[in-house]
Amino acid sequence: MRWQYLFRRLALTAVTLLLVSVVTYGLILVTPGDPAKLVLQKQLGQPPTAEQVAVFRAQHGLDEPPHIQYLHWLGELLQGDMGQSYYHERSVSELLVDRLPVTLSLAAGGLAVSLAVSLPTGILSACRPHGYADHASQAVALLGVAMPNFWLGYLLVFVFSLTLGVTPVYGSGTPAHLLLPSLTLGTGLAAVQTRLLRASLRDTLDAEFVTAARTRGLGERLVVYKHALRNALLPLVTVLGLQLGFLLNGAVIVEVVFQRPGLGTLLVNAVFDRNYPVVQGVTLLAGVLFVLVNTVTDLAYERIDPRVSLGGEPA
Amino acid sequence: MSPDGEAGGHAVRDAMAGSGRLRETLRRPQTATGAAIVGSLTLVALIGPELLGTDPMAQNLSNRLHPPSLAHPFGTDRLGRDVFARVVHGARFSLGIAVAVTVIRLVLGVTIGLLAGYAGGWTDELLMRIVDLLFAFPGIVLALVIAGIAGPSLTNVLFALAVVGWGTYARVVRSEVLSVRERDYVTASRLSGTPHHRIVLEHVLPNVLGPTIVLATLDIGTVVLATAGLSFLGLGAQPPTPEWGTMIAAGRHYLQTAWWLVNVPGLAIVVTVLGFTLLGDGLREVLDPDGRTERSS
Repeated sequence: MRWQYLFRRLALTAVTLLLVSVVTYGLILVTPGDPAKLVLQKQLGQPPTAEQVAVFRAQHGLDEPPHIQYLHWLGELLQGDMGQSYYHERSVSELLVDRLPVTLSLAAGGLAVSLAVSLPTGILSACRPHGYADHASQAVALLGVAMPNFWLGYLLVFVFSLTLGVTPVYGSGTPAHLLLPSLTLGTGLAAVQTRLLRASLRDTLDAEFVTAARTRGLGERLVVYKHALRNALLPLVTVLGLQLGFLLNGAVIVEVVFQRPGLGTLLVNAVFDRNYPVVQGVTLLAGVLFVLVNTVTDLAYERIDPRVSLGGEPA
Repeated sequence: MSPDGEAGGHAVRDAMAGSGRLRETLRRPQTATGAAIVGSLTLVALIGPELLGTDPMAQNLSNRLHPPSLAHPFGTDRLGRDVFARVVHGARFSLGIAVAVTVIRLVLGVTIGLLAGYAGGWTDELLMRIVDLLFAFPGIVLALVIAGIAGPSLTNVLFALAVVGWGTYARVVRSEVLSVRERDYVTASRLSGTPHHRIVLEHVLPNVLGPTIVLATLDIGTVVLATAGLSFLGLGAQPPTPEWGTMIAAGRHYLQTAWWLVNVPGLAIVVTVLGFTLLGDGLREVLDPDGRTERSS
């Protein structure tokens, strides 16, 4: 059953990525302007000669008809070659390998911040519903959802870097550089997680087995942490997988705000520079990451909750 | 009396119960705040620019980066333009785009959801796989690529966001159609020869109306954020257009010297999104008591 599920998932992923690449190629086709001229103009600082354009087009396979270009790209991809960046004579896979750690560390940092915030506040809110702490955390969660992360980023820079001078402003490399971006990225996530954990823990605390545990005279602490929380965490696990999409979306903007050389800045620059092989590469990688994480989440979900069976008909 | 007299009676009774509950929900401070924010923002977007009369593009280089004062309540920017006028004009752009995107998403999603649920079979299978595809990809990244390649402009951002975001509507509507189809009175109506379009109009659409209104209200907030985000990256509105995300992008270089340039449009975005979220959450309790629109992410 699980193999069948995995196979289905992989097939769907392959189709998704294929479609995304076709759409991207289609868009490139209908877009006015020759990337060769634009790229050369940027590199040379002056309009390129016809000969230079021809050389560039031959070098990057742009002289072939569009569908051949696409099949060519696809064929090389299947052999593990994602093509060459239009700039800096570098291969796309090299660029991706360079940038991936920067983005992954940001995503990990954001996730750590969000869990550090949402677990305690969610539990506190659920145990004392409609108390002060609950109202405060709900208000903060609401604000976290509404806050654009580009504004939050600059607010944090203003307070912590420019006014207090405790963190470096922009760039990457040291753990200190990771602090503000992680906070920025983690806040929005924390808001969603807190709301979800509160709701799911409230439901669980009303369940019969919790009442039974209480009736047996177990202490409230033991009831909440050992019995209820374990069950209430299930929905959170699923959402963590879905939130990777949110993380990737957010990472693009956060990386631009803090000028971190990650996949997000790579994609934004590539889009502006008409560096199409890089655009294709980053999109592909984002899709693979997203589906990979969601598959792992589903498998974890099945592990935690024996009632869940992947791919099978519900019993 | 038409044969649907009874169903009509139900609808009226439901509507009356709904309006009672609506009044009750509106009495809650959160929903009331949301409604007030949304109401005033709509007003600002509709008549604010004309009422104010200040040109958001008018430069005055002798009055650059002026802090908030009586003449310029939100200060001036690096070209001496009035930030208050720019934020007010920005409301028109942000809300206009958000409403347009949401309407396109809604029409696309509801149509496709109805079609999939009602036709069933391979049509359903195909359409729902497309929805799966949309969900299998981080939306902003996809919109970024689409809008970026098509060329930076508000129109392209509008279409990119519309194309990536109709899946939720389609899913909710389809599952509603599937459950309504099986109800006895709908089967009876179908067997007595009522044409499909009338079944859809009379039985299916009224049932999906509530959840879609809730989804759309919450969606407007999300789209305001996404549009501002893409504009911040330089893909949407181009300077000198007074759009909130573009204003933040332009103001970030003056973080230390002119705090109002980033914070005023930032606050405008937060208030807007907050308003639609509060209103949407409140409406959910009235229009979607079963929680079919619960967001999972």
